[in-house]
Amino acid sequence: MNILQTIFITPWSSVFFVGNMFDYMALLLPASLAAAFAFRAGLCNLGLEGQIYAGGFMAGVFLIQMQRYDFFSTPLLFTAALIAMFTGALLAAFCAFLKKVTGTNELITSFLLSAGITPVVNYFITGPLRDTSGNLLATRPFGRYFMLDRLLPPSSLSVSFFIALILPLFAFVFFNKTVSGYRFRLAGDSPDFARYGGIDAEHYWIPAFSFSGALGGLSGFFGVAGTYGMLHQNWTGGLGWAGIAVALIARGDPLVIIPAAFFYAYLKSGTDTALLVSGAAFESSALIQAVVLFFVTARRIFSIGKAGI
Amino acid sequence: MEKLEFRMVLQILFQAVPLLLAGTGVLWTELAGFLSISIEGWMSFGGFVSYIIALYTGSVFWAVIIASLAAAFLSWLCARFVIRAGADPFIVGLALNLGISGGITAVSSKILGAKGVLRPFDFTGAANSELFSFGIAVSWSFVYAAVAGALISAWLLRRTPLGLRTIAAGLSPEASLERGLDFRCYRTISWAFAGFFAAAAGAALTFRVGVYTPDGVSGRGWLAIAAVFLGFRKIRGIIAASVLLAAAEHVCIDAQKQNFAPQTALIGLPSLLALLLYSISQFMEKKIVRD
Repeated sequence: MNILQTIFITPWSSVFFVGNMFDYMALLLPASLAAAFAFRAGLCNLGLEGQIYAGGFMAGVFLIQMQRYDFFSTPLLFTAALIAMFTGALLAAFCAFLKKVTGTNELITSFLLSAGITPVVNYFITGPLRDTSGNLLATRPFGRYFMLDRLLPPSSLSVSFFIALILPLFAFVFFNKTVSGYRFRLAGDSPDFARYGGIDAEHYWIPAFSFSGALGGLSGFFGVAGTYGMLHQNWTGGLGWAGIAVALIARGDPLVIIPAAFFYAYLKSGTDTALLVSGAAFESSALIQAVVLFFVTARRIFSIGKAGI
Repeated sequence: MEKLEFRMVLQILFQAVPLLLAGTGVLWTELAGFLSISIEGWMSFGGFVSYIIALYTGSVFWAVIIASLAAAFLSWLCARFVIRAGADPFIVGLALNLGISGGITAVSSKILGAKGVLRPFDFTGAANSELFSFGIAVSWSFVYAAVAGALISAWLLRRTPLGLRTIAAGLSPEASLERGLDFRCYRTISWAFAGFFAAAAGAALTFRVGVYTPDGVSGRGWLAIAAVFLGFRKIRGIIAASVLLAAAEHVCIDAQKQNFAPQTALIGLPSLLALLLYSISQFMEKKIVRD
């Protein structure tokens, strides 16, 4: 009972916990939107974890190299965000290209590419770029000029939260109020019907997956420049998978992604808090997350009892 | 030199066994149109549960059988939940991977007082340490079992009503219903097969090295899924793909020993090689179909 109280009540108990919860939501929103974009195009981006990690890495490397130009930090941060998005888009576009040319399943290729890229990034972070003055497996911090402004210190909540909140609104307008968005949705929902209507579904694969990867890269930028202020090994901690889960819970609807991301961030914040505050073990939080995911995804709880299971 | 090459071939063969077993399980779900991504979780489950049962019973055979049957039953239950509750199988798969990992750590902590690597010499006496020390004999048993399992699955899928109906459920659920077949039943059965074979694969990993390691599966569940597509969703293809991926893993381990490239970066080499092989195989298949 204590653990449940800690999970559901403690995230609201201090500015630190509340801020960190919304900060995680800020990372989750672009990640889940990335997954949703792919789903709406009839694709599945399983390499989101690697795209977020690689995107954040490239942005971080750029910021580290630009440390001397702190008077120019705002445009440089903007450039770093673009680099992160480009990196994510490139990785995703490669998988979509493979699908178009060779007929591979993008679910497999995106996962394998992500699994292959992640150790390479880990090597650079723990090797040539590592800050040897400390014990962390991380680079040196970027410095305050190269971090997004904090909103609720001492929490890690930054201005990325507001940017992340706007993205689903843009996505909603695109999908529901534009001709391109309509064609995009149709190509994803029913490729055969779209073809009869003169819309080539394959035409949307590369742009959709690229955009998905770009949003993943943006999430990576928010993580390194907003939350951590440095690159450290495996900082994503399953963010890509969480994004996919949130997109599935929201059934790919951009507006529903906002409350779904909040719910997931709340749950994660609660379980992380339980680890810190009550000494609950990792396994307790993992089990609770699993149980909640089981029931959140169920659409017909009460029909399980009918006709036996 | 010949002895070295023979040992290398043996190592690749033993490394291919978990991929073949897990890949066979994945094939059932893929052909049923109900892909299970919880293979990673069931492999961990099989590795841990078979270890515990072997500790207390002294029998590797019964440990593997009981763990695999338990995983089959639980996986079947989860499939029933997905279908009855209209749940998303992907989310349920992710939840299973997460939940099984947490559950294993909790149970390990409660029963054995340890959360990390479990070694037989930490616990009971000489009989159990002998149990885990005859690595080669146990490894060959798993090779025979994996090949037998794959061949039996191939026969079931292509020559029996169970298999043909499972394939029908995957090809067209609507047509199956029209013909009076409940495709949902065969989809749940496919998840049972997936759980069974994945748990056996996890047990193979554990008994090959003689210890249970929490991260021992380390992505092999996903490589098994890749092997199914790399093998064109056929058993003989999966056998070849498993050996290829095991060889890639072996190359990676050897490259790490040689030190000609950063060891950390080389960890991703099997995945990248799998990506390359998969792309080439699909390109060739597309070319053949077009020609």
